[in-house]
Amino acid sequence: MSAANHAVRSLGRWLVFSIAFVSSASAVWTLARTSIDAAQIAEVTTSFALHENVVMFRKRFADVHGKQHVALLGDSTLLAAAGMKAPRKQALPERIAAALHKYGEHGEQIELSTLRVPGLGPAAMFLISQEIIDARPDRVVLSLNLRSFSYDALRAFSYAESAGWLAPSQLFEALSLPLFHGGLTADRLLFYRALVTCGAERTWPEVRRLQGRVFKLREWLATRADSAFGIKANEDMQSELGLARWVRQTTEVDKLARQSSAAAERSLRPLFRGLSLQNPGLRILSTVIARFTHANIPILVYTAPINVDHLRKLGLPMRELERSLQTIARTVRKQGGEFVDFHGVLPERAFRDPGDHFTFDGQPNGTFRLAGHVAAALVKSVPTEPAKYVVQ
Amino acid sequence: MLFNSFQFAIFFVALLIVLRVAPWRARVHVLLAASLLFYTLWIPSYLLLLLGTLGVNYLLVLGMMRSQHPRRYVIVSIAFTLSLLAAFKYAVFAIEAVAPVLAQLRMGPIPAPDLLLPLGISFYSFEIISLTIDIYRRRQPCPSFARYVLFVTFFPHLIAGPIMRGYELLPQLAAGGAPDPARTRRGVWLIAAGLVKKAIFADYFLAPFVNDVFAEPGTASGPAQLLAVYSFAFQIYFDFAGYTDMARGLACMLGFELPHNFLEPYLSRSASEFWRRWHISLSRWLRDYLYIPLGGNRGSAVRTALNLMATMLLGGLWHGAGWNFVVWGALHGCLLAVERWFGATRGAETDQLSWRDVPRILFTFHAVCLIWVTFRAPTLSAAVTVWTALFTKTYFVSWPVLPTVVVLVCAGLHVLERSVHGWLSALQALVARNAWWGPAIEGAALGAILMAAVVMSGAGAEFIYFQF
Repeated sequence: MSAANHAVRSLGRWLVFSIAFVSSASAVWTLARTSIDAAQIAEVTTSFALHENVVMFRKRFADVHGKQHVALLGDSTLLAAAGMKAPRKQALPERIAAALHKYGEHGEQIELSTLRVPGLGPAAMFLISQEIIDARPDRVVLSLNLRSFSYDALRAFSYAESAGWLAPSQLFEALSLPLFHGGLTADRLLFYRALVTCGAERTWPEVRRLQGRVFKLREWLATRADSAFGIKANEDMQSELGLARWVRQTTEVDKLARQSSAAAERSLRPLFRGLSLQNPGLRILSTVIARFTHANIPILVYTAPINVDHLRKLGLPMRELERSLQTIARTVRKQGGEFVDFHGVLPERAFRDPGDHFTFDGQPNGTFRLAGHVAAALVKSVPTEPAKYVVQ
Repeated sequence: MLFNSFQFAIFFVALLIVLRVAPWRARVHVLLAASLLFYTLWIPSYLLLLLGTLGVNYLLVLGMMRSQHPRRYVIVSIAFTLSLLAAFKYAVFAIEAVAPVLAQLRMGPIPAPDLLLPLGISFYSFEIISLTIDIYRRRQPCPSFARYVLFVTFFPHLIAGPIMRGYELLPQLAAGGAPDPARTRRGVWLIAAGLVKKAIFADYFLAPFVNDVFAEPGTASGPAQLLAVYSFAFQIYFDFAGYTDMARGLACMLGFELPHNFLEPYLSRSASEFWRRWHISLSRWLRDYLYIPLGGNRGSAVRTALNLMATMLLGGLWHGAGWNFVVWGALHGCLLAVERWFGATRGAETDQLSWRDVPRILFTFHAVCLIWVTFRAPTLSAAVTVWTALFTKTYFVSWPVLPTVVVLVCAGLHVLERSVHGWLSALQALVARNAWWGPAIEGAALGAILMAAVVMSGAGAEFIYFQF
């Protein structure tokens, strides 16, 4: 056989291999899609939710002019929904806006734009910090959930892929931060960045959504397989496990669900043991504040209230917690931020659930009370004249 | 980087291209650079720790070769390597273990450091120690620094083994590997097999059920508890064996051979046979560098039992810093000692299995499964709860169908694994001979496996052995 024949034959074999490879891969993809559609598996939220929220926030933000424009960033404690049927106007940001009106002209010149995303802790704040800076608010207010310093919270960090939108100048900084505790290792960071650079930021979420739904298909299969035999073993098991989880994590205090001692200790463990300056959450928070102050955007950090009455009753070391708060305050101030400690401003009955979300109606109204505190801090913090930017 | 990630696929394809165009003499250096980059792409700062460990150890090896008292250098090298391992892996465990004592003495707690375990530290520490000892014993000539570093950091085995010995890899590195089409094809199929084990079985079918049941120990029904224990046994096997298959496959594609790490371990007829078939490279390391130096089975029965116990306790601690790992090692040590005491290991020397072996296989499998509970349960008390549930709950209730089917399929695949590999090899040979159907079948199979692994990777779980 001549060399040319051999080359043609090899090329032909490669071509056949490639066609077969692509065809079967496409068939599996189609089969997966058909299966999840047939099983009516619901759409899943991916870690792109953070970026999508930031994009919407910036659109809203751009529409506001001529006032002291404050960006309020926080987690589910700022949400009205989060599992309850509260009207939006009863959510914390709206209550803060209402409370600001009580301060007359000074309060009225403050316009709040809110970015509220469940689980928005220091790591997520770092990922979106440049987007917020680019929106050029007059001031930033961070609602800091003390639970975000726990390793569990860091491990549960679910917005890793939003790292794709990090500015190139931020990449080196990101590599030096302990974001890996949240699964954002250097390879992932660079990969997500490369996806956005290559314009694959629409294709990749499709893959992730399909993966998420195929993962849910397993549960559907388990239930269907049982029902084919006329049993409900999987459903019963899930109910038993769910109930056990609830019992393990919660306790009842005056007919209200509260965190159990073990769950409370675990969720605030680093603070009960004396927060170290090396704590990954604190290191990332410190960088976030430094980024805003370097961009000449004043930043106010307040600690979201936690149920201190309940924690005290559980016998947890509150003195260590106070010391840890001082560490956080020192860190924030060292980076040029303002710090206000609201962790203990609400009484036991101002919390609605074990996750320390606030009550929004009745007495005591946790959201209303906290809004008053935040509004007062804001009025004190914001100068009467609009800030002048020094663009870097 | 996980082997089953997109970023690793990009990294590996880029490496293959660079190796293709780079001159042959630069091959070792390209592989070294790639291996260091692979490690850097996890947490960049930990590369300094790895290079520091290697640099100090290499200097000690060089000192040992020139010294009149080489033994001192060996001791310093081992102490240095183990102290780093201890600092990163056991510091928090030790601090928590002494905390109650300090509280009794009315002394304040020692602050625990915020350290993340460097990836692969347990594996590369053992490789460094074995190489130093082998050079000291003159079983292995001292390699150049580049080959020394590449031996330890060679990325297919850096993170979770197999724990290589100098004589296995250094000669291959010296030759620059021997890539050929047949080896490449074998490598591709090994990677595909690893993907099936890891992404489809371990992560998709087994892990969610195991995670659910072990999250609330003792809560689920008797059948669910039992199935979760079986499921975990297969999950950890498919996870680790899948990783090893991928590691071996990647090495094959680069022209290197890595040893087997598993040989159908759940078909073992005794605990000692299990340890010859499970994580072979670790068992071999513990035998050669711990059990035999301690005296092995040369002393009295009691002494042998103590040696076994010490080896397995340290083997348990190697896996993780926690009392559950200590107990896991102790239970295996007890099982091995009892077996030896009763002479139960006799007859398990041959490789051929017969129907008469079934009771012993079932006994060993169940003993291993029960001991796995301490490995998987979040705490020791949770493990006790699971054991109690296994022996007290009723089994006369409905069994969840999907987990039952999955466990049966996994067991069937395990029993037939060697045959399946044989059939696949025959199919590959057939495919290789056929000019047109061969590539079509191969392409279709690989495309389907790859896409199935992609769409079923929603959980995105890391390899279990990455944490050790």
